Amino acid sequence: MKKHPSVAAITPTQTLPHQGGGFFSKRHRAPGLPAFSAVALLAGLVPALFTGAVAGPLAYVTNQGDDSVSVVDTAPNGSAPLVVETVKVGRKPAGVAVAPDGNRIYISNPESRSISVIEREGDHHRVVKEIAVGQGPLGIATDATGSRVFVADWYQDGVFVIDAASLAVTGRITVGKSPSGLAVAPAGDRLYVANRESDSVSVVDLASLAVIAEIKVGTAPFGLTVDPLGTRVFVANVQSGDVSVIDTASLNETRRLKVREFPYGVALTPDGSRIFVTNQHDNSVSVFDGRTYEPLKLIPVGEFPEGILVHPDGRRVLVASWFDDRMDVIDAASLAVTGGIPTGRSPRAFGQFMRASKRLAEAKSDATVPPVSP
Amino acid sequence: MPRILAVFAIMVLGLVQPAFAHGPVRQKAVEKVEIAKTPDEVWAIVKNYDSIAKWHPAIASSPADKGNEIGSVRILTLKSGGKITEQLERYDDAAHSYFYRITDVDVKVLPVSNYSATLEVKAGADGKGSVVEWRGAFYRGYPNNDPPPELNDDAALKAVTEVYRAGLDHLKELAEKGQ
Repeated sequence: MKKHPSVAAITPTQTLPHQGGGFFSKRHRAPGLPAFSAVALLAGLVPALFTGAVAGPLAYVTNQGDDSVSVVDTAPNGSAPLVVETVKVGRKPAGVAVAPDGNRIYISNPESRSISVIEREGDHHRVVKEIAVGQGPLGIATDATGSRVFVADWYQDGVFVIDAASLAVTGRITVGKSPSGLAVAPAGDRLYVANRESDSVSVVDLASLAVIAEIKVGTAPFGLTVDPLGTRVFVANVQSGDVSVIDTASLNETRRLKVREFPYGVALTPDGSRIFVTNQHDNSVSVFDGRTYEPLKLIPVGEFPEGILVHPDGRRVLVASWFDDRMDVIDAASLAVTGGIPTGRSPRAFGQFMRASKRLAEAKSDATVPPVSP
Repeated sequence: MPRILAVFAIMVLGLVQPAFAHGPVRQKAVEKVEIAKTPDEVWAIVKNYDSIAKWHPAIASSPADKGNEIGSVRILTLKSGGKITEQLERYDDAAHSYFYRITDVDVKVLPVSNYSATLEVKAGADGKGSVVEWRGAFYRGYPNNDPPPELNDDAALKAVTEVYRAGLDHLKELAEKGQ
């Protein structure tokens, strides 16, 4: 069993061998062109050392540039979040799925072609297994009980099924091309998968593992989120700059929300009343009213915002800014950015990166929530 | 070999990709240069989207069809003969920066895909000079697993870094000579 450091290791800068390139013709190569050196870490952003017990729910941020996961203590609302641990995983981690009970965190490592299984023991975490899965594991999600883990293989146009107890790959579902974001319905009966190169969403019946529908959406659908009430699926269409809203009863796309350039992911408050979308090329988050779909605000955040999730307390929105190596925190009511914390390099946080707040039974029992029309 | 068979062979080998296909790992390149001139003076040299040929030593021409308007398309013709097409996505004169993305390039010219970048002139730390930052996000030129070495992640990062370094270092020379 590998030991994992609890504080982020600083990666040394690299020097790569000089190679011939096509941009410069030999005759016009700039004189004295320096030897190549890779990007240096942002200076001075070593996370504060964690010395106490974990206070609040934990967020798990995949740092694709560091081959690690930052464990963020989001603390009770009002305190600044803090990185409390850094866990080394496989190569170029991207996707993350926290199990419903919060005790396991599954990480996809596309370059290692594997999944890292992290287990939480009190305030600490360790990787208990690294499982080889497919050719390009990226999107990852657990089912409603945590008994199965679904991994979308970007290159093999399929979703692998992993049994959580044995950590064995037990099946494969053929979906569209380059499956990316995926999520299970709160009731546990269906899996929705965005197929980036097919411009569609596949719907899988989880009892039979059969694909029961393929719904056309916008161009290059990527991040996919299911409404906590289960009535709607949202998917960000990277190339068409919009978000498709799918009605889960009819399995049709019922509307498109115009956002900004190159949207990545969608997040909803637990009661479905607000919708948040990250716009990678616009360095912003689009906010919509979850009932009327009225655009409410465009919030400037860090550069290249990607993974986005609403905190289970419903009051804060966490956004990974990939270029800035930072997680921004937005107040879900005032829609103001209230702070940010440094993460590792190139954070993506693609998926359910905190333990989900409500299960369907709890959500349905909230009689004050009016029905929403997709 | 008859042309149709050659095309078929290329498709079978999986070398024909959907237009924006890419691998799962995006690269980042950030290069800077300090220039002993004010930000306004440096911005004056780079501010026009179609003026990059004047300060980048590898670029022969760079006309842009709509000047500094969002959506303007500039076509770089390199001194080595290759071409790159780039669309302007954001322009902020007050902030001294612009953001654009490559819409068409042959990987033999620049081994990248889905490339976007920002050029920004900031005030220097001492309050007198400038720092010009050129930062980009992109994927390697080969979208599948097991890329050949000239199209892998390292090759992409190295190539972009060289472009930025050459441009920024030459910009510094030009600016400090007072041209």
